[in-house]
Amino acid sequence: MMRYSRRNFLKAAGAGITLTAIEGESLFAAVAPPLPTPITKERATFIINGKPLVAEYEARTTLWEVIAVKLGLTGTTRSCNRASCGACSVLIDGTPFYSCHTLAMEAAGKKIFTIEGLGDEKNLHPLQKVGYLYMAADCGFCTAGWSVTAKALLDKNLNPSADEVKSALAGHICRCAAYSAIVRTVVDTAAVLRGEAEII
Amino acid sequence: MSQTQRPRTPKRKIEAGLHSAIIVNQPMVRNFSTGGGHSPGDTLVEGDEKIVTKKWQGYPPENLNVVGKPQPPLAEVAIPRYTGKAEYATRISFPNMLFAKLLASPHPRARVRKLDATKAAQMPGVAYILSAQNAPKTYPFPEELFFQGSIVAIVAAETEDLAEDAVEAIDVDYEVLPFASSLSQIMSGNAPDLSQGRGQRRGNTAPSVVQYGDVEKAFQDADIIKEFTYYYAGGVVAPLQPCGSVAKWDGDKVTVWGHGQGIYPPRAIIARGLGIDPKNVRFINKWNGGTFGGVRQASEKFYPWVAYIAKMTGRPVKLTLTKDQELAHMQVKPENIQKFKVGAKKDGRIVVCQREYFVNNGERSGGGGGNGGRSELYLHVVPNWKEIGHDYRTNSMTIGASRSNMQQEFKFGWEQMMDEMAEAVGMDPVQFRLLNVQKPGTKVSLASGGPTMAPVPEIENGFLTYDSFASVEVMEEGMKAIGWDKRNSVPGGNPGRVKRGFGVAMSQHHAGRVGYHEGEVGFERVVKRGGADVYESEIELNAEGNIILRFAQPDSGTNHGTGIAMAIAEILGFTNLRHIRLLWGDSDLAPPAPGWNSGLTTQLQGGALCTAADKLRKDLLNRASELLKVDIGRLQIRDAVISSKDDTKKAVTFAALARSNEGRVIRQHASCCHPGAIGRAMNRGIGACFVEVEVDTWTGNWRFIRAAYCHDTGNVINPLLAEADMNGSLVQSSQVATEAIPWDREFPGTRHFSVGYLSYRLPTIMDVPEQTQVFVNSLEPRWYFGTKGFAETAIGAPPGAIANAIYNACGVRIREHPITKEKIMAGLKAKAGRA
Repeated sequence: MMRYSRRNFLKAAGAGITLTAIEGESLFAAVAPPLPTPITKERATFIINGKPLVAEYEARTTLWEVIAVKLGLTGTTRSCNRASCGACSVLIDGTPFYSCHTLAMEAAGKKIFTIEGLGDEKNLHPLQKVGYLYMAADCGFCTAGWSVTAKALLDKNLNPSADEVKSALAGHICRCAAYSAIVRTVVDTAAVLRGEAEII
Repeated sequence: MSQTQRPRTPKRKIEAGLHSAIIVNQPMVRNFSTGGGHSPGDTLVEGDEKIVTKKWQGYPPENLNVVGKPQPPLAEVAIPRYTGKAEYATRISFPNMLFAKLLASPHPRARVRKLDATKAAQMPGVAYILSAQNAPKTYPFPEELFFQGSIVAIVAAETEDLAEDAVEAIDVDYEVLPFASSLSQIMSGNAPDLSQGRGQRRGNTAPSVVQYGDVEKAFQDADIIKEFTYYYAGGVVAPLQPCGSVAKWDGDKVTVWGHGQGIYPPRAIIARGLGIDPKNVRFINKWNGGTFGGVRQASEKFYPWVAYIAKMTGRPVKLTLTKDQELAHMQVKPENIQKFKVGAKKDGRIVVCQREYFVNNGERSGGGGGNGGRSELYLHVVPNWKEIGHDYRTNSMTIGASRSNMQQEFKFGWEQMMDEMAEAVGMDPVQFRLLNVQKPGTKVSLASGGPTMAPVPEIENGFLTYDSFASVEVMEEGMKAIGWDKRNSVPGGNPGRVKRGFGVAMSQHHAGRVGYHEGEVGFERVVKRGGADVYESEIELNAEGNIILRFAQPDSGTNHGTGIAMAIAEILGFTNLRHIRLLWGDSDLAPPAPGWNSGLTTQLQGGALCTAADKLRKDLLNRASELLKVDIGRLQIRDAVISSKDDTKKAVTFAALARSNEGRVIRQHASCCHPGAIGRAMNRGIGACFVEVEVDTWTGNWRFIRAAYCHDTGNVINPLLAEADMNGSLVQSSQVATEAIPWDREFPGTRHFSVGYLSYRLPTIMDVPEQTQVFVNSLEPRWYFGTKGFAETAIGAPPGAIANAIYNACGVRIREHPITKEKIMAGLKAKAGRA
């Protein structure tokens, strides 16, 4: 049995294999390096929510692990760990990335934006306030991810249509399916940011 | 034009409110009377037993200030979800924490002949390896690995990657045993015997037969007899939060942060597993990233081992299962076959139904599998019934609650059967259901409920009588909301390539499985009988004038704390929730209670708190009366001030009352109990789901366009939360129709082979239909404010409704789950061939 996983994927990528095969199981299995894996020490500065933070990690360490484990910014949640649900999204230089499948070294030195940068309980971003009023989060596990993606959308487009919101957030799974509330939240947050609406 | 000269258009106001839900209020005084009837006062006399129950529990649902008003959940519970601070177990972190990873069995059935962890133990960063060899005797590893994903070893290391490296370095010599994982495998002639000596057939537990009435005679009398077979392939809830836990020791006390639907049950498991006093276990679980009934097992069976490793290493340990491992341990909706033989009269009345079912029960055989709670029998009048059950133990995942228990997986078949019978007798599916549905006041007999009805006070007469049962209303209101008159009279009759169609299905779940609160005769009797689940609660008034609610239940996005707080606010005379605080999800802070399930939380845990609040209200009135020298009957409460109705200057605040209590909080305690099975004639609601779909007859592609789900809700405490919950339920449940657990390619029928969420597609933001939730406020007279639980009741129907709508759109009936475009296309081709 072979498992598809980030680890195996990264091992295969590290071995310089071009991943062209669709039926890739045997391919992945064949290139797994002998154990034990050598540990490589890396060290870099990450500009997270405007603050430079230094982390030590291995070459294979993901950005999620650096943010949420090494640096203790636990707001960014990791769910599938297979780059398919979007819960772990963060912005790198303004663009949303799945941090579970982004290597930390790819983001070294770059500007990273996480849920902690959006707003805290004393200083909520309109997205968080409107989301709260509209029930855009049931369990809340996906919220940190789609919130930063929505922020990226609003940074570029202050008047998105419902369809534009859907297409921007199509890479985020909300298992509680608060989707209709999420769409209304982003559309109406844009109205607040444009100054056309106010939060009661 | 400068900014100041521009004419100001008023800003649009953003506030909490219903989006598209409709509330249909029913008259408060019902025009029917059952079981002794409603007396004009505030008491309700039930049945021959004359069990006296306070009508509305003393709080009639009129002139309410808080209950029924849409408002966002309590900030202390909900805001952390938006700021990334809700404390899911996965967010708990300590500086010197170890990360644990699981070695799971790759075989559907095997034994470990030899396990060699020597090499793994020498790997960098490895702190501890737990296997059958060194597991605690009080909590051993399984001897036989009974399903793919069974636990073989746990490694704790400095990072997740290092732990996984070591997991891969463990050498295991498996003795691979013959297995049967799917229904077709276990039902085949050469299946291995998995029955552990209990079955009469290979791999089988004994077939069960449940029967009432005279089935043979009824079939002779029937005008129309039809037979149908339906197959359901299996489903899983897949919450986003990965299952796992964190354990940390402080001397001889351990704290465990977990993921599930209770505090005290997992605490007991940990104490038992480690052989320690439960007092030395603190269990914390405040927020969950979804649980949907299926998570509990996948988390709780690991708690004792995680705590044990933490003890052995002297460091905090966090275990996070990967998604494929987690799904192997989570409860799933079972694969099943249902065979119906149904007899009806020409006028459409069902006179007899025989159901034979075959259920893939997974590892844990016999546990709540096939009979589906027989909830269909509470919803439909079936005068003669025979059920032949085959529950198979297999090398597959444990079955159980999985975004409701035994609903979608059986109603996918049942609700299609109802449609096919309607067609056979030449009736509209709604009219056919209205003819055959249970009506208010109908007595449901012990015989027809079978073993799911427990002998509790209200059914000592052998039947339950439902007062509040809006079966007719949910159908009628649902028809209006969807526009049922636009339905095709001939299936597939619309011209053109893209055809639209309408479908309906009903849902109801564990009818009346609710309990009693302290002060009711039923409570004393059930508790005295023993074996009842008792939900305890505490309510406090502190010197700041705040009301603190203490209760155990973790929040999975359910926001039950807010619903409960609203009822408490109403009882204590508040017009808002500003003074209500919650202490929940922590065994050090909250009194004992079983876990929550089945949409009962607001009723049972909430009922306990309402009863405590009722005591507190009386306590405060007594204190105020003494202090103000005013008769209790002349006092009124409004927003933390108790004053004389005759002279409002004679007043005292809650805070002052608390301060005058010698600096101590004023506390009250109360309980509710769960009778353990169906037992009280309190309906938990009925759902009627109406859907509209569109089928492209050239490709087989179909689209879910619109849904109107009409629910018998009782008085809805917070319609905003109810609408959000029901919208999510509808989307989740519709996915059950179209997705089956994707099995491992190497061992078909075994573990969910998970490539993220790509092989088991979860609905995305692009898949959401236009939704209208309709709440029929049917007022349950036996409970506070006329409320009833409806969360789980209102989820079972969509898969059947969608199948029925696809049939109405294009004339293709999908009896074999899941619904796919390939099956629609094949059906269209077969139909064209016949034509």
